[in-house]
Amino acid sequence: MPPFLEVQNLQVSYGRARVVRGVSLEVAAGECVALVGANGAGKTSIIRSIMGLTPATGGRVLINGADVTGAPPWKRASAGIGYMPEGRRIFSNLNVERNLLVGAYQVRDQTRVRTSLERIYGIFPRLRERQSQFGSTLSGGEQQMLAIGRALMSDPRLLIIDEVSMGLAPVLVSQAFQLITRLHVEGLTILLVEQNAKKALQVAERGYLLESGRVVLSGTASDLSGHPDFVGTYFGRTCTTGAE
Amino acid sequence: MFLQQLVNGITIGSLYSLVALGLTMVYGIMRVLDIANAGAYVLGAYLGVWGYTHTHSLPVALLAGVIGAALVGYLFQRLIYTPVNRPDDPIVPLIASIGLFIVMEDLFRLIAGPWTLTFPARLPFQRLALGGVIVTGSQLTILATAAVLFLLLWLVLNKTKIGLGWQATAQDTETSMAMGINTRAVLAFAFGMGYAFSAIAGILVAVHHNAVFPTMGDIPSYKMLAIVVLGGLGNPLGAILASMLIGLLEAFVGGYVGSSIPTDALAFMALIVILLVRPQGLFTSGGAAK
Repeated sequence: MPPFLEVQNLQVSYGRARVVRGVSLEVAAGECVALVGANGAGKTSIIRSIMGLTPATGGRVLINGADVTGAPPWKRASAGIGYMPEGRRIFSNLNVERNLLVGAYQVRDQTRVRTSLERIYGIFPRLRERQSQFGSTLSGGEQQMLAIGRALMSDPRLLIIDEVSMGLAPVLVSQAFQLITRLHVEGLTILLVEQNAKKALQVAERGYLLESGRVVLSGTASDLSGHPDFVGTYFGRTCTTGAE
Repeated sequence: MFLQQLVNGITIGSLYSLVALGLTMVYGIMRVLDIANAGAYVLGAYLGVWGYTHTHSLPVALLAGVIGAALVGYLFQRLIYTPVNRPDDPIVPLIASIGLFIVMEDLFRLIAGPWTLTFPARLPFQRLALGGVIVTGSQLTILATAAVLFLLLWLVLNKTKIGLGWQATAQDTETSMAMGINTRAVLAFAFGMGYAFSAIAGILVAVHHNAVFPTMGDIPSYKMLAIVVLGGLGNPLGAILASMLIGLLEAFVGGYVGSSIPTDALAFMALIVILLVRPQGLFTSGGAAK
């Protein structure tokens, strides 16, 4: 069986600047995989390219074995990907409930939509309390809940989370990672993109370390976090090892 | 006098709303000021006359205008605006829209002739006299049609999936796409609906004045720009309120002051004042005013 998500030799450029240089990675069904690296390493560009928001200049993206490299973003979403973008990007002029309904846009069965809504309100009771409030009136933590809830509304097979810890207080970061752990234990496949590598690798089973648009390390979370190059990258020593 | 001008003003405002809604819905989602939307207003009037001449039915005339204009709107979007639209350069689609409007006007002149056609439609309402206020059959038709269309638009935007898609896309196209919204379909819907609304306004004006001519879209083409900026670009409710405001202003100034102040200039006078005191537009909440 092919991995649910497979990225082969992906390349992304903005004008003449090459920001992703031949990245390959895969996420099997049921896995939680972390994509970590410093700011500017190319993490978000990879995710945007997987989602079809930034065109790949080379390489392929396969979802469940099907090549979606040229497909528009909504087709990728319909293939079973839930996406929490960097910076949350909730719809500030829509209320909480309609923000969540946007996440279920492709679900035709209204009973399923109501069930998903109840499930999200069960996970985040605060969102139920705020259901008629506009997104712009929510606190940072509530917006984070809303962004994750929206990504879960379509009952995705793979959840891609881009920088869940960004802009959150430490206590909220811990809560967010607890939630990700819970979702993964319940069987959800997760691709976690994080600057906070330590936290991400505590949750993930496997990881990829990015540097300057390349994968410089990959392996199990425990191997990665104990690797001297990983420690070097995060504590100032220059990485010397190629991709494993 | 006051109540009469109030009725006249709301009638004018209703017509302006129908055209301004199309313009603002397209702007909201594509950030294009589509001057050619006024061409749909004229196209609707011509197709309406054609439909009415063949069937003597106003609903059929409206349907002909709506279908024809929506189709043209869809084609303009797919073949012209989408290929030339660049987020960092709004001038190119603006120039394209002016060009399209000129081409449409000349086509109307070539196909239907430069003269004025009459549109003597049988109206569903009779003239109504309430005290000293007279509401003509065409005014009642305009008010009733606009009320139905406003309700329809509200229902579409707030109770349907495509309406939710429009609201989300107008705010953040990228995130909407990633959430599974087919923004191409939403764009086609916005253009189709916008052009259809303009076509209906064109038919109603043509019936009201019993006249259809190639340049009847000239004044709406620029006045609507002032109205949508006043209402807050991309904000449908703002467009309706600004239209009503300008309609009432024109009716009251025309009624009380007379022709010493040209009523067609009032929208621009109001625009200048608003740009000085509130450049984001009068009504910026509830839409994607940018």
